[in-house]
Amino acid sequence: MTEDVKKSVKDRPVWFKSAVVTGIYGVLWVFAYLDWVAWKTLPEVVLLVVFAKSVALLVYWHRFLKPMSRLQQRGYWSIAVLPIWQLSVFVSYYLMLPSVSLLLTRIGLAVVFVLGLGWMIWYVEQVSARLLAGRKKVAFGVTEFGRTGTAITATTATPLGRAPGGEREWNPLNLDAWYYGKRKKKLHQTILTVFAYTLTFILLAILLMQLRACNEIYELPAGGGENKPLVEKVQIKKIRRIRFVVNPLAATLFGTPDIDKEYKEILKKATEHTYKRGHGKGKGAGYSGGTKRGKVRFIRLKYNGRDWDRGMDLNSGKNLLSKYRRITNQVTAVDPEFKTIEQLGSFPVGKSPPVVYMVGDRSFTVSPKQIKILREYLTTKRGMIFADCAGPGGFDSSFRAMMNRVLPKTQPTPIQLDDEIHQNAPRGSLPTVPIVAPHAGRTSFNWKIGSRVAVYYHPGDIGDAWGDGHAGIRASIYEQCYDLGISIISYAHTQYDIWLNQRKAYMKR
Amino acid sequence: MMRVLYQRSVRKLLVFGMVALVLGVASESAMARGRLGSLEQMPIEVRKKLRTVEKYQIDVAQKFYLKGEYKIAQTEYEKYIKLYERSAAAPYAQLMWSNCLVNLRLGNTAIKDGFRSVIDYWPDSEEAKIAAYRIGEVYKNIGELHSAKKAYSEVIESHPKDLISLRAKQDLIAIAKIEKDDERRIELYKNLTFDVKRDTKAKQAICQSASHSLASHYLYGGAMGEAMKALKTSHENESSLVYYVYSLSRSPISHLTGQKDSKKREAGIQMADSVIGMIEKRIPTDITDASKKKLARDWYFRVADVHGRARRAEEVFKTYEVILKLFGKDDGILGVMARWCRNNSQRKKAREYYAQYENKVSSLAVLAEMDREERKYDDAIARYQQLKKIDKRDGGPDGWQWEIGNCYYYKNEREQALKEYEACTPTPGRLTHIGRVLRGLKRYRAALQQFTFARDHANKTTGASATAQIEIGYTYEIMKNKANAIRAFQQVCKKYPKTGTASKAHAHLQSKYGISITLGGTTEDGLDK
Repeated sequence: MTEDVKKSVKDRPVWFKSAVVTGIYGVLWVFAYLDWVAWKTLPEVVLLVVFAKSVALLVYWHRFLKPMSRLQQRGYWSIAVLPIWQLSVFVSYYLMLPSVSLLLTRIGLAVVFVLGLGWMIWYVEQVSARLLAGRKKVAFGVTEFGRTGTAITATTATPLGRAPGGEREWNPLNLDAWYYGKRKKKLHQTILTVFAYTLTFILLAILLMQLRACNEIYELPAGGGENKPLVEKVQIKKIRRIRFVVNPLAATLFGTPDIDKEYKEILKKATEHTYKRGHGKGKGAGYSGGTKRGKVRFIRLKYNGRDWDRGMDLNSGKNLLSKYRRITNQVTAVDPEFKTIEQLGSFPVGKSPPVVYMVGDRSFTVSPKQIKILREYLTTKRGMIFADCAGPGGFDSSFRAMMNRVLPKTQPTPIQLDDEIHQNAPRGSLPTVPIVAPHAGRTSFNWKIGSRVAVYYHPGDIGDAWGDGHAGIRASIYEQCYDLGISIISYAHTQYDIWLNQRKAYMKR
Repeated sequence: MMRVLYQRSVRKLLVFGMVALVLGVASESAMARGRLGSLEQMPIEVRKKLRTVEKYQIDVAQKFYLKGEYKIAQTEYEKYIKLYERSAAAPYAQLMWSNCLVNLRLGNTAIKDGFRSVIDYWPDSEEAKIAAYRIGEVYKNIGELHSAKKAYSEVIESHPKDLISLRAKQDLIAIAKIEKDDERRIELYKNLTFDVKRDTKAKQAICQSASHSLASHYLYGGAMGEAMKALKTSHENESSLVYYVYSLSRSPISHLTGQKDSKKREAGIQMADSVIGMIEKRIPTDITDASKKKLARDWYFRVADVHGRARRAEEVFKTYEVILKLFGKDDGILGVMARWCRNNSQRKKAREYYAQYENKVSSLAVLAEMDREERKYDDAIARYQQLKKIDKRDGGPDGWQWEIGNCYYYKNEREQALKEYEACTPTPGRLTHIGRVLRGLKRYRAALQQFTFARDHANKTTGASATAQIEIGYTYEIMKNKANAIRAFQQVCKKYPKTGTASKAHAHLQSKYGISITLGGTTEDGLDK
């Protein structure tokens, strides 16, 4: 019996075996793709191997199918475009070429759209011609016709828009469908085809983009360092210079030394930039749990309130990021971003933003679902909210009410001025809280989870001080505002990195 | 006999109240009273041992501490520790140094370098106990509840019979409240109520407070019997027990009788009836004696209050009538009755009671207030005119004159209102109000004059000056003088950056004019100079 089974397997044609192998690979490919865009569990090298395998399979099938008809060739290349496109995008992503990756994504999307449209029209044409031939055969007993589209209505024996049985014709592939009208039926069919295809394509694209957006990730920049204030020490070493006591009238020549050069070299060494802000023992300023692709981003929280974007037009986030980059030497994004509360919920655990900025003036409401997302973000995902009251219009009471629901078992307490955040500001400890306008008093509050600051609530529009023009306030204050902003971002990233390392160690165990 | 018992219980309550005040209120409120809190005081025995120079140094530091100048006080205490390291008061100085840090909102440093040093260097001192407790307290106040719980547990474990462990338990109750851990909270209440030996007054005060909280918890659940058990541990005296049953059951009765669930409502009504029954037993029948009369009157008012809490309006009024019959008319009784009528939409009756006041000034004032509530401004003006004549108190006529102006203002007779206002003594607040009236009458120049005058004559540290300045901005805005308006708002931000008015001006500049350069800026403690 088993002999027979083995024999029958052996007897199966080669194409069948190849198709089975390709099918298995296809499933694997889909899984790898989903992991890349959504699950983020496999290492990128593994994904690269899986995606690269598609090239081998394409080559194999190309050889296997040879010689191919023109139609077969077109079909082959149309299918081949998908894995090639995806592979090229992945490779550029892997090589950390985001702009190339984006460009390839767009080009590929356009190519796939055009190819799909071509195949769609071809298919509709084929089916439509076959249906027409069938109906003509019924009407006149004729089996052969010229190209479709010529004197079509005249060929039908049944009334216009009716199927042979007399009922209304609904099939869009049939040119005699009632909604194509009496004239320009072909044109109407083509328009409908293009429209339906475009709509389906857009919907699919949106769905895929949602999949990607739903699982956006945030990665810390790789590196190491300490979260300590920047202390610039300039040490000038005295150089012992040899003095020759000679008779000034003696015929001795001494080469004049380049004093500037010597001093410059010593100075350069003494003032070498050794400040590395971050956490861990990696190379360069950053975080030990970070990746090469990772960077510090400034994410503003978009919520159901009119002023969530306060200060965006004044480049407050951009300025802060730029200052952060300059002071910490860490890799940062150039532009700030904004995310809705729902989007914040879609970041996976371990790859979510360590801190989000929430600003506002007026009162706002938050749904129970959003409360749940925020709670999960602060607790399970170890995130932090940096809130900023930008006006007396009710933001303060709304925010406190929101926090009562998000962390019902925690109470806000005034921030201690010797807290890590204030103590490790870039230019030494901040002895006080800098304020632009005292919208919600003059004391900063924090909500703590354990000993970690989960929410830092600034009462006086700190974002305005980061904006262009710095709200016209004194330099001493807006510089402090920058320091506080940088310190909070840095603190959040450090805390996140500590947790990532602990998590990694736990997973290893 | 009754009177004596009652007086004794009241005296006892006063003593407990005082002790609770001293113990329960932390150092911050002690500062407001201008004296040290119970955990900040130096033991007398230690002070006796000090040399004059040491005493002097401690007093200097304490003076600054009480003034709220913690930075200087900290330095002075530090100086003491350096100079008199082996002195008996060194642990005290170290403790106070740490307290200075806590007040400067440097809690982490206070724990790490202050309180821990007290425990490490002087582990057997009284201050070490306090420091251990303070570590928990500071952790609690900075929001690190887990660390606070750990610190308090250590205190309870190492000093189980000391007062400090009771305080730690009290704070643990507060933490359980924050964490909504009712089980733990009740467990601690029970421990303090039933298990702790109340051998000192301070301990008694803490345990009494816990027994009240436990009773209140039971009363909200409708468990009167359990509540009584808890209260009996603190109040052996019947009179005092009834008083606390009454005062603690007021809110639960109101809560239960307001429920939709008929069972709960019924429990509330039953509770009200039993409380009234208990009170009625305490009312003295012989009221010839003045003190007994007062006592009876107070109990009757409590009966009326319980009826009110149980939502029995008719019974309330009946009780008031009994009071009136038994004790005769006086402004106090009439006032309570009138207020009740006023709150229960019986305004005519309220007026009748107010009219019967012996004190005519109070009577007219409150009647005029009712007139204004009912928008009978002419009647109110007439009453204020009368008040002006009969009220001889310092500043009295001036105040009534202002009220006349207000009546015209609300009557929408702004010109007449202005005339009346002008007859009053000008203050910055009043001038600002006059300015607003003038602005309403489109007399902008005059309004600006009033605001400027108000701004210049108001105390710069109060909000009145800033308010006048922002009103200048609003006036220019109405005058469509955009440049001046912006300048005026910016001046608010710049000159009064710590006030709420600066916040308004800042937001207004941004929302109305889209101006981000608002000027101003400050720091929390004003350390930006």
